[in-house]
Amino acid sequence: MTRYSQSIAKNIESAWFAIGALPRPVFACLVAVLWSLLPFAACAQSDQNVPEHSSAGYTPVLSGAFAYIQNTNGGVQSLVPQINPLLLVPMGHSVLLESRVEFTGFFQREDQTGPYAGKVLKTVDYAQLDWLADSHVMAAAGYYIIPFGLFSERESPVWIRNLQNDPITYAIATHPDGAADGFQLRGAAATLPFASIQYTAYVSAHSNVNELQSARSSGGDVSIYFPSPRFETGFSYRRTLEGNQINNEAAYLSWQPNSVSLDLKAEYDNNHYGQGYWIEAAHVPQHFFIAPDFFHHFQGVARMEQLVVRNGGGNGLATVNEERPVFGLNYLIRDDWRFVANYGRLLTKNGNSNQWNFGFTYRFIWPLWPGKKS
Amino acid sequence: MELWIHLPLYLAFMAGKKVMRRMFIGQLAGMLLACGICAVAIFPATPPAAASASGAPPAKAAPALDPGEKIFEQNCARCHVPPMSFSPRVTGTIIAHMRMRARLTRKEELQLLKYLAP
Ligand code: HEC
Repeated sequence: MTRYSQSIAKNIESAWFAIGALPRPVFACLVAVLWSLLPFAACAQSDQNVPEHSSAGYTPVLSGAFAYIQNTNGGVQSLVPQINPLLLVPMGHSVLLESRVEFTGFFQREDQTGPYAGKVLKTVDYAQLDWLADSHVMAAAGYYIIPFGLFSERESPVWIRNLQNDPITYAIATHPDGAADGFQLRGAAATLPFASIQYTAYVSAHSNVNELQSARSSGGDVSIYFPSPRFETGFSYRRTLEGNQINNEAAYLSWQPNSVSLDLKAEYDNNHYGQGYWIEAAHVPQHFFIAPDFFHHFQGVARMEQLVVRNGGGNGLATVNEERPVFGLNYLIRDDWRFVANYGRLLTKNGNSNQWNFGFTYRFIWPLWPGKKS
Repeated sequence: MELWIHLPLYLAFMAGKKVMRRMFIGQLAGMLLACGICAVAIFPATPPAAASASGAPPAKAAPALDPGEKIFEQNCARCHVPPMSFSPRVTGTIIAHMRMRARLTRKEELQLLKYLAP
């Protein structure tokens, strides 16, 4: 038994005790959701075939991104090269192993003028086993990204984020690990003709194992997605069940109107140490009045963020109130390559500073096995 | 001088913590409501057409979309610029991965597979 599995086994027990410490209504809801989903899991094997006329292959994939970002923060320059490989290993059609690791270099000039020096940090972002059990239930076990709000699970990969800095409220619910050891259920609870109601429920155990640190917690996310106008709104909750046991909440919305090439996202986060929001709009000028073929590669982005600290802040958040307008101009060479440039101004009562990011990101998808080709 | 001066929230800060919090939440609720109203407003008006919001162009109005194509257009630009293409041999793996992320149903997964790797 590895050190990791020993630690997990030891902590599963404490996780169950931890669940008992949940506020009664939350606990009741969690149990109700989990139990109501079990019958779906039971008939999981019944409909798991690939459609008859599809040539879709299930080859293991190495995906992920390369990025090189030059960052200037309050006059201090850093070079940040990154490689984020993501391994996907399917086992049949319904089981998937997924794991992403991040190698991030962080180089700064010694004494502001000397040669660049620094180090490369390695982090395991997640390593989980997924079971795509049924139409309405999927289960994951292992080290998973905490599904909280819009940013952590969906927008954080370097090739996806429109602006390179994390929102200033990002630490709410994700501090300090960003991921947790445990299991989760997720899926579409109901699909109506005009909307789909989606849920995630999870519990996690405490772990001190290197690279897989985790806190005991439980939480969930519920959202409603209207596919026709491409509008989604949702609510996330996480309660940490160790240390200062605190509640974290997020409310979010995401909208990609059909008539314009616009991507609107907003999130409000709240916990014991602070509350704040970010609201972001990204636009690609599809029909620019001059040289449309050239300009439709550009993406203009604007984001406003604000954080109001409580109880002294900290715990991943700033200790004074902050606000930050951020602007970006990205050039999408193709769907996988892009140049990024963004500027933000961080405003605090202790002083203001400029933050610049320039660089490129590249997303790759490499089959690891020669499979079906058509 | 306080830096919050250029935001309406400055007034709230000046007026005291409780009021500030109320205004902060009020502003947020207002913003969310505004976006909600816009969304509701376009419900009946716009046919489902566009392929992508943040990167790829909105699709030209198609007469009758294949169900898989419709699911692709309605879902694959929610979180990122959708890929232009990927090899059929990885399609099953990627769609399983994205089904997990986007919390899609089995039916949607099968329709996507049929559309992307016929
Ligand atoms: C809920 C958000 C979300 C939706 C909706 C979504 N994706 Fe993704 N997608 C992601 C994230 C996040 C990643 C990066 C995964 C990672 O790095 O862990 C990703 C990665 C990918 C990749 C890179 C390979 C991989 O599997 O990681 C491809 C290709 C992709 N998505 C295609 C699609 C397609 C096709 C759809 C429509 C069915 C889709 N995505 C819908 C969030 C989403």
